[in-house]
Amino acid sequence: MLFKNESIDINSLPSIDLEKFTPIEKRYRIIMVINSIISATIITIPIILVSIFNAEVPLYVGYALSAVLLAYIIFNIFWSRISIQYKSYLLRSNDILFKKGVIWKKTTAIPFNRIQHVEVKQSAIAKQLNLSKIVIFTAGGNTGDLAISGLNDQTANKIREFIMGKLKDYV
Amino acid sequence: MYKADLSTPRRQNLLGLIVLLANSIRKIGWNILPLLIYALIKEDFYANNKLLIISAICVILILLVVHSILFYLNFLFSIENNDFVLRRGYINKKTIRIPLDKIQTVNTKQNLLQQILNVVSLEVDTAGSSVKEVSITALRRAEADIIKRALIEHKNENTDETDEKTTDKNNLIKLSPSDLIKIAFSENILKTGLLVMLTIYSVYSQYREYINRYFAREINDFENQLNTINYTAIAILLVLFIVLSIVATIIKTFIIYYDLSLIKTEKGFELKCGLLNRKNNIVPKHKIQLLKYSFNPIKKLFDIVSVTMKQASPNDVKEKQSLKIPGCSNRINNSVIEYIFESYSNSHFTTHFTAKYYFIRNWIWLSFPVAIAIQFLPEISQYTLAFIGMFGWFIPCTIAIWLSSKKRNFSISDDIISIQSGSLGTTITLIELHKIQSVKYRQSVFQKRRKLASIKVVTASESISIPFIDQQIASDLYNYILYKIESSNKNWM
Repeated sequence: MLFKNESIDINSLPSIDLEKFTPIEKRYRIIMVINSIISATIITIPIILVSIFNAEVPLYVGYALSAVLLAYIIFNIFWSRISIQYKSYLLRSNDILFKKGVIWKKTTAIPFNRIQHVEVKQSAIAKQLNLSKIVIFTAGGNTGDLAISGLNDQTANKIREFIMGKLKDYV
Repeated sequence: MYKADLSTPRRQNLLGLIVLLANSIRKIGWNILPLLIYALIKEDFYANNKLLIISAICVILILLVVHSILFYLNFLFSIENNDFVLRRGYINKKTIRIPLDKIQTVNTKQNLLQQILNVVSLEVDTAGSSVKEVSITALRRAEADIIKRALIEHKNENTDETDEKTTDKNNLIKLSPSDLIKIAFSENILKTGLLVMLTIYSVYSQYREYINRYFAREINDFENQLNTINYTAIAILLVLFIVLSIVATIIKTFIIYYDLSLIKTEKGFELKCGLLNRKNNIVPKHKIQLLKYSFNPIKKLFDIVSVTMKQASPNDVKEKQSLKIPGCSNRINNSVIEYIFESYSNSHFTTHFTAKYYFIRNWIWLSFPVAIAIQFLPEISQYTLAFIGMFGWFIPCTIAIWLSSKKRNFSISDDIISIQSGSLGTTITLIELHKIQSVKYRQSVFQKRRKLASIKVVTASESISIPFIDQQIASDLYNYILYKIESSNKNWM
């Protein structure tokens, strides 16, 4: 028994274990892969170039790094397929939840009456794919904020409208 | 009594001119100090360029005076239509407008110069952006009090000073010098000592060249003595280090907390403290997001707990946004807690402990890697390494981790969650459930095998984790906190 002296029954509370989360759009995988390629390339390409054009750095450093880069990208292509299945969200009447993580699972919940404001963002690539990202800000700073990527444009805007509507009730 | 019409833009006290000038001289001075020292130490340089140096200093001084005067003349503040309005700058003119209900706290501060001139500076904190800019450098105390009250209580202008009755009953804490010495001894003396050593070393390495030149013989002698292992010398150094640490801690405690007093006001607390910089913070109690109190074996002996009350702060680390009391008795601490958390005294707490696996995981990941890494240090015999690894790291680390996993627990009542942590010392964090901003439920595959999970609660001032508890309890806690936040109509600030 977790709580003593409780007028409500703990078992009657809505539980996250029982509810069905909505997965994010599968095509978001493309962006995940592209993002990992960009971030990996920015770090490794300069070193590879140096190893080619600078005699003091042996060439095998460049080969090794290219191999690592390639392996990382291939790994990401496969890994994104798995990890995207674990990204899902749930909109309830009083809060929004977002689940992610394959090995280290994490479920973040933000009650609507603690939300400061909501933004819908879209990168250039995401625009081509008709995807948007919704960012929810709380007073908790970086750790308290929540970003859900890989939503349909329409869905993202609908969620934003829904939350904004809720926010009006609380003020 | 001082009356002020705050609705028309007004300047700060004329003495502010002196404070502004002193501030900018200090700022510039720190930057060119190394240059100045260099110029003075290098003998020929000063003699050859006397005129240049003196005229440069004069030009800088004149520029600073002009800057201060312009800054002073263009610095205006007022309260208009429930906004605090501040106009500043002479080249880049800037108007800052803060709605009164967004203001978190209004603090006054006094540095040494301001104490001499008998003026205070006033700082306004909001929950929003970084607001370093919103401070008024020089005001008479009476004027500052009126503005403070006008800002905090949303009452415009001309407030009487009738509620200035601070009876002994409301004066919760007053620290005397002997209290401060007690507190200093129960602080982490070694940490302060190491910090002092580090500072001395960094100053030394910055000016090594000059110091070496002037004290060459002494340093040489000292190094010779160090080379021959001399146990009395080591003992003397050790004693010296401890004495230095104690003295430094006492000085630090006195500078920060001199003549500290905590007054219980109608709506919250008022804290005054400081020797060179006197500060005065007023915090309404509903704006306190969490309260932390901690003690260690020495503090327990003296019946001291240190208490920190944290307010909402925009960025995660901001010491400024908290009220820190370095020491008070358990009884006082309880009355502070009962004042902030109204339901504290009649709530029933149920405690839940952290799983053993938390110890094992931390033990494996923290103590073993370093203990093994030590074995690969070069140039020391294998036997010594094993010894250092065992007694210098492995055993103390194991004990610390064991203690910390044993201490880690959380207790929950209807409205309050209390989280305990610490290894040698103990820290207890109290949060009202409706002040939590968001909750995270974490579970790794390794935890799932053992039916464990972790919870992280995020408040507006800090996020705190509750690691490795039973997964059923974790999910109940998660659902309960969410229920509490969503069903409460109390404001979190």
